[in-house]
Amino acid sequence: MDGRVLSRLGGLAGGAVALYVFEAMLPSPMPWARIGLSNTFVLITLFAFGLRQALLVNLVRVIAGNLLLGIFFSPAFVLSFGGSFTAVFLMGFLWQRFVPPLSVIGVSCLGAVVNNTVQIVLFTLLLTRSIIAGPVLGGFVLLGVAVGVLTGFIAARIIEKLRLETNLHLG
Amino acid sequence: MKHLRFVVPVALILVLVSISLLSIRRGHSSFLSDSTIVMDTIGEIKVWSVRKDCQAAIDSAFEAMARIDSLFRRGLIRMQWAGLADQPDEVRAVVELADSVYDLTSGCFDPTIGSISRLWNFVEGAKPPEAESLYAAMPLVGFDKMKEQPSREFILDVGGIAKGYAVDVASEVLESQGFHCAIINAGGDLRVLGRRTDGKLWRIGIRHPRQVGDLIGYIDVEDCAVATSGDYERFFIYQGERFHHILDPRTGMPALTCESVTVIAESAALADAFATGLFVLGPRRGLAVAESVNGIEAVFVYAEGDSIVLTSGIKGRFKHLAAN
Amino acid sequence: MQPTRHTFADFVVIVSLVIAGLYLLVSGKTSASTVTISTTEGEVLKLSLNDDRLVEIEGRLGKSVIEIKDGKVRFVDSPCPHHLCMRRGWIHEGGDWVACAPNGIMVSISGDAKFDAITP
Repeated sequence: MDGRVLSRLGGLAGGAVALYVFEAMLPSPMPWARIGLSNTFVLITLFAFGLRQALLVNLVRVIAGNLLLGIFFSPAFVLSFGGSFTAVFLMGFLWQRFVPPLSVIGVSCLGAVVNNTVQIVLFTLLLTRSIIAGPVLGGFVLLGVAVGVLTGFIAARIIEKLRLETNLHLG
Repeated sequence: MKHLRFVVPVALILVLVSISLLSIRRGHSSFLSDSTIVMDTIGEIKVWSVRKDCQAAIDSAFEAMARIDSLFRRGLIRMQWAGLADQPDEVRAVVELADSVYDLTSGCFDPTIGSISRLWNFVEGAKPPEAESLYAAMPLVGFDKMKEQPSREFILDVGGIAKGYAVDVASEVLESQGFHCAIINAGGDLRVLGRRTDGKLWRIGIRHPRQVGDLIGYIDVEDCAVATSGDYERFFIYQGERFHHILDPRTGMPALTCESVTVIAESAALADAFATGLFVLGPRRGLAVAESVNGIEAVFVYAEGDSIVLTSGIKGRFKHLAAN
Repeated sequence: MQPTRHTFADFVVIVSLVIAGLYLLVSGKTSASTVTISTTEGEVLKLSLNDDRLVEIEGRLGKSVIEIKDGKVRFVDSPCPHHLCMRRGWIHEGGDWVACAPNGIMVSISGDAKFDAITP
């Protein structure tokens, strides 16, 4: 990993952490659930560098973000950790096999939906006594699609810019 | 980068498998449930088990309950202290238990209240009994008097405690057959065996004494009995005043201070008897008694459901629900 | 093909996810809570708590009338002497129950039960 790549990764991870902390201040339909805006930076890393780098940025985001929020190893951390890593693995898999036909936007949508689904499943399993309610899950799926489209578009624009600036190899 | 092709599918499969395993582990819904009419209320047994003889075990537990029911059919037993030895074992057990709770609650749980309770009829539109008839019956109230006059016939009201006793007998039947995850419920006198299959505690809702259909809170418990005495169960309103079925043996009138008392104990008979006794004692003296007796925890509700006091042993396990 | 330009496949993914989300959103509502009415004669009725209706059911003494309305259920009439069942009024909580012991009829709410049992 040369210095330029490392500094870029550092910037992306820093952006992810900042957005993650900012996001925690936004109102959420369910405590502990994040809508996943900071996923933009993970998405950029994945498309500009690769899965290993994306996992690294995600790890930094989850650990540093939760440390900054003071909720390291709390239920929120477990939800965030489980949801985001499942999503990054899935997005990595899609990026390797299904791009094309999919673009950043489709990958981002699926990632966001899986992130939300895993979070709500973990939430119900770890913190409640009831079965997963269909409407709640449906709501989170729709929210995931919306956030996924948004982060997908933002990420696509930034990836294009990055590519113009540098000669980085794109997956 | 090549090896990542394996990492991704493997990770996905691991996640899916662990999610499904977790769902199976907390599959708390595979129980067998049956209900019957017993002790003038509904008896319900739920057993969590995959064994084939589960239904047979529930049936035998109900049979045991029905046997207790037939012994205490009318809830009132006429007997002399001297004749206790001739009574069936189950009756003796209940009377002896009642005797010990009588001592522990300074006589506020007193089965000899039967002479008085038969004068009351807690149905809508009823009237309280005449003062003279209450006065005439008072000499027959007092467990100590019964022991002092062993050849005199007293009327024992064992309705409440017998219901709890029936629950205990039914739970023993289930436990002796190796079922350790169950709820045995007779009209709200209930016993839980073990913990839920997902390892969590059983959550028992407690009714709001004044807001019909609502719950005032809940307690999380394991392997114990829970019973509640409430002034909202059987009562009538006469001249704007509520007359309910929990009578104070010292006055022969409904006990005043509490609205409901929920007791957690090791057996349903004990929980039932203490719920009545602590209700009569009231939140202040009752709390002191409940704290002093080992293995008894209680929730007192009074003042239109606005005030709740708890024994120290269940402070972390009771949750107050805001009215909606 | 640039991975940053949205494609037809993206569109398909988004539409199918939205359909799945909407389906979940609607499906859960119908299966929320069920009312189980059982008699000692062995008759068992399972009804949705969301369908308002009056149920007449024959017990040991005679006919009991049970009303389901606005996600709540109650005894409207029963041939028992003390009418304790009617006095209990509306019940709505998952895991709650109301019974008419003299007539041998039990009404309970199952579904997403927040409580394992209710006392008394």
